[in-house]
Amino acid sequence: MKRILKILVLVILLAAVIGWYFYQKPTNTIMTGKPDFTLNLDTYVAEGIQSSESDFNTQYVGKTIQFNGVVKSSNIQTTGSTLFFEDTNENVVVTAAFDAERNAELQTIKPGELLSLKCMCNGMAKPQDPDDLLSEISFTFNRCSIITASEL
Amino acid sequence: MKKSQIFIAFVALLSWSQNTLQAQTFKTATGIVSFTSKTDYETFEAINNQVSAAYSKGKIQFRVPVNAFIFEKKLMQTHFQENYMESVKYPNGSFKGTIIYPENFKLSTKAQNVRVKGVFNIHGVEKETEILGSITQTKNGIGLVANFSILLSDFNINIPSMAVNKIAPNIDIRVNAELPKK
Repeated sequence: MKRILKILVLVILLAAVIGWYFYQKPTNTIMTGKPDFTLNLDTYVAEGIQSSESDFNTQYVGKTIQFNGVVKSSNIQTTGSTLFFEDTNENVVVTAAFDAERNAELQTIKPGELLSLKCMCNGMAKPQDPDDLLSEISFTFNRCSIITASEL
Repeated sequence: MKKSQIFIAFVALLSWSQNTLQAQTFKTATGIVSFTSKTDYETFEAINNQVSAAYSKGKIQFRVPVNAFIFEKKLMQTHFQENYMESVKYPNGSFKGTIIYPENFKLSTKAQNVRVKGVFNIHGVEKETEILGSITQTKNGIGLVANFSILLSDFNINIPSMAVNKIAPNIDIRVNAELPKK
């Protein structure tokens, strides 16, 4: 009986430790593992423009996406930084956000540079009304990392 | 040219530049929205620096990608995205409003407190509300700051009974955005 009690206490303790570990686990600042989709940014944006917002977001939001794109500009902040990507359509804004710990790496990126990124997709948003001030179609990614040639 | 004519021309130029400024649109895709939930048992915060915001002629609009909120703890982030905000179904929150106070609001380099009446769309639920904030004309555009609270139940965000002690029914939200001229 004592032995069973000891095992039970051990199991409960182990479960508590595992639970505590998962509860305290920090958020990943980058997406790891195999991407759900690997694509070209132009193709992705064109698909978004042609699709309904809900269909497109159901397919991609929360997924890990690896893509190639040409950098338009960057915004480096202490709270985290953003790269803007080129698109032939002027009414499209593509942003990829990075954790602040990647600021040093991002400061070396120049407009016009072709990059491969792995990010989480936050979806697309289209203007809802003709009088919307936010008249652009926006595509957002975050928890991004730059994929080096050796990782491709 | 007489002094009076120069003065009239100067006033006309000043008026024209002021009108042009007031009609100008200001936009960003890197505004910041953060929030805090505080209970006796737990306090947690999240920050989002991918907020789109626009201002023109007394009208203000925000669009907030839900998945761009970053939490310290992975488990809380997952629960927030998948269970509470259902981010695949409702990937963006938004606010669209108009400055109602002061009347005939005009931009100024001095920070001005404003009252904005508008509609939040969060978790697929629309709610009309008024929020207080301040607007300042800066060198490159305008700065928007606001602090307010929202009630989760107003937006059908259901917290399971197991987590009720850990998540506050009222969430404190802070907005801080620099909007350059467009």
